[in-house]
Amino acid sequence: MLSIADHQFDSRLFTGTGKFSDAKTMLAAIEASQSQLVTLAMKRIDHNKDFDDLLTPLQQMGVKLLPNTAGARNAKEAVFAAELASEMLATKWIKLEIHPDPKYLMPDAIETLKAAEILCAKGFTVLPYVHADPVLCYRLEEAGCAAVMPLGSPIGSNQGLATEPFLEIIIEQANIPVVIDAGIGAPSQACRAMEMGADAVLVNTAIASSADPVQMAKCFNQAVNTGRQAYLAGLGNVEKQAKHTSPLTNFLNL
Amino acid sequence: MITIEFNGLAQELGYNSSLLQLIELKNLNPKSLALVLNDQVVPRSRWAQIECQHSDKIDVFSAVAGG
Amino acid sequence: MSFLEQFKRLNLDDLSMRLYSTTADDVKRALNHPQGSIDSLMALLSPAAKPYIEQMAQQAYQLTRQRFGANIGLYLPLYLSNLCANECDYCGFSMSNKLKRKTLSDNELLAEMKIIKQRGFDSILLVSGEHETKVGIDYFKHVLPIVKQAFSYVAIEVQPLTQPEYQELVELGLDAVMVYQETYQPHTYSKHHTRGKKKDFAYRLETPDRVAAAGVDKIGLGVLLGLDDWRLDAFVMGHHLAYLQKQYWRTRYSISLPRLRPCTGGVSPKVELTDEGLVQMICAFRLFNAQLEISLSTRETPEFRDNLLPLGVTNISAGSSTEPGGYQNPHTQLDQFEISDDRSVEQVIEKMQIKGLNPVWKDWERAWH
Repeated sequence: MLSIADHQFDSRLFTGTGKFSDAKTMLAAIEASQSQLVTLAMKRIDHNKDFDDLLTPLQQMGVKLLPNTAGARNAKEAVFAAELASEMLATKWIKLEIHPDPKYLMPDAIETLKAAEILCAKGFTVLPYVHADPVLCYRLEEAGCAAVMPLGSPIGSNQGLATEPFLEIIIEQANIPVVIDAGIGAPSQACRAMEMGADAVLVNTAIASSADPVQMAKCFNQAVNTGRQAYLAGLGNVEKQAKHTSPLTNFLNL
Repeated sequence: MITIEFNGLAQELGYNSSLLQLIELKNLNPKSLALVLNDQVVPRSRWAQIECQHSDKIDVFSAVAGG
Repeated sequence: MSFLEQFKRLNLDDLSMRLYSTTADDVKRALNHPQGSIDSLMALLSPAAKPYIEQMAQQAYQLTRQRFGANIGLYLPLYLSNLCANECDYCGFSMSNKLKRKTLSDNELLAEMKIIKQRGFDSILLVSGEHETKVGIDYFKHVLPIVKQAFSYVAIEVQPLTQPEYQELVELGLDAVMVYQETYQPHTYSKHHTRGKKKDFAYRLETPDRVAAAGVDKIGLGVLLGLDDWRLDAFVMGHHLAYLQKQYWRTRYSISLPRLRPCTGGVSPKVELTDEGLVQMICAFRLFNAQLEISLSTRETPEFRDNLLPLGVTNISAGSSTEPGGYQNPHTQLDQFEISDDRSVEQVIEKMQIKGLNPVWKDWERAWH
């Protein structure tokens, strides 16, 4: 079972609520994914539109809500967003994401660390979205973050685990859970992330943008479970024949 | 009457209106909102006690879909 | 949180049982995924890995060259003092041993430094017995700036200190601390350490935590191979290393592999570590940790040292003296242990270069500081 801070999760698939065609499909997809942690964004209420009540059905489903700080461009705005989220949803959990770059939404490492230090000191359970940077992940762990969420590839790009060699280092070194976030575009990629030993993956676009989001959510659930079980079972051997040039241990006279 | 700025637009309001009354006036469900008064987040428990003042800047946020 | 808490949760009997029930299949699996896996380390240290030593050596060789190139760092020990307030039955410096006790004066220290410097060394290991009152923090604080003027990399192998003391020494230029647990098996530990502060197993075990927290660049771990079952001791040292690396990621780590040898105390090994076993251990640690530095002293014979060089070793000493003042006035009766390789550094380098390896005198990374 996965533990983050003091909370236990049966499912290692986290989902987002963005980009679905309608709320009904979104709820059905989340249900099908069996995900127990769902991310949300925050927005100033628009005068002209009725806003859908997103919260009530999600709360009824019993999933844990993880508000994010999307829209924040620096540490100060992110801290403000976290306080807003905490007031709105009565939770101290926050997905910290700071992207000053509107084109690719790449996370700002410097502002993220700054905000993480402030929010951890204020007692938040901080899950920062970051580039797959092992040293940054170490620094965020030292700041007191409950998990790290390094990206697989640019957000929303469905390009999979482009950062795999760095994710391997992060997974090897981290003393807190590692959740691979962003870029996972297919169940096979989620499965691979779990085989590598990731603690969880967060998938949104790949489910929401499928022609059949509910079916795709089921597939991701299966892929994450399979990947996790494969990791626990221990992957089999890839035969790497060491080059036997000249023997190195003849002196032992074995 | 006083004038406040509500989510970026000017809004006329009677004297002695509390923040909670403003929310009700706007037909919003107070359970899923966060309210910011002059750049400060105001805890829900205090909405009934705080009266809107002339030229207050009030912003109301809600949860929306996002990843 | 220190390693002590994690150590208390380890069941040594259980670890030993698992170590000795490892199968050939476990070893094959480990050879495919050795990096960072404590289970793989266990398999590679087990008796079941014996038939795979050549394959381990091939992989260890490649990994070492990939990470360190063809470079072997050279260092020399400089013995500051043989005063000691401990009784350790395997060590020539034990307090009850009748030998002339000596602590270097400034002039003697400078004379030793001059000889070492003339031989080309730039990396030095300051060694003393463990005598808190006469050779304590004040002495080290006095000596370090003198040594640091001549050598760019300075390591110490002295009694465990407190974290603030290590911090003070870091400010004076200390680069590395070697602190060997000798054995991770408390019963055996207390049998061999009968008097003095070194009796405190737990305080010693927590020393690397204090060293790392003080911001020292490199920490050296080691066990005296042969005091108890070396396979189990090596395996627990692997746990210690893995813990430290996760906890203190800014620090570099090295291990030393001293085999128990005859000395004045005359303790014979309980479990003999053969040449084959030592090769297995070097390769197992290299495969477990590509970045680990592995240091080899002059305790081993010339031929064996030459053969070990390509297999994962990164640092060696050559032409060592293990007595205070020994570079200026070589005797043998003050030695801490018997030296098996008494070749000069030139002779060692010649053999090294035949194998395609280059001597490195200066650790450039530290030259920035």
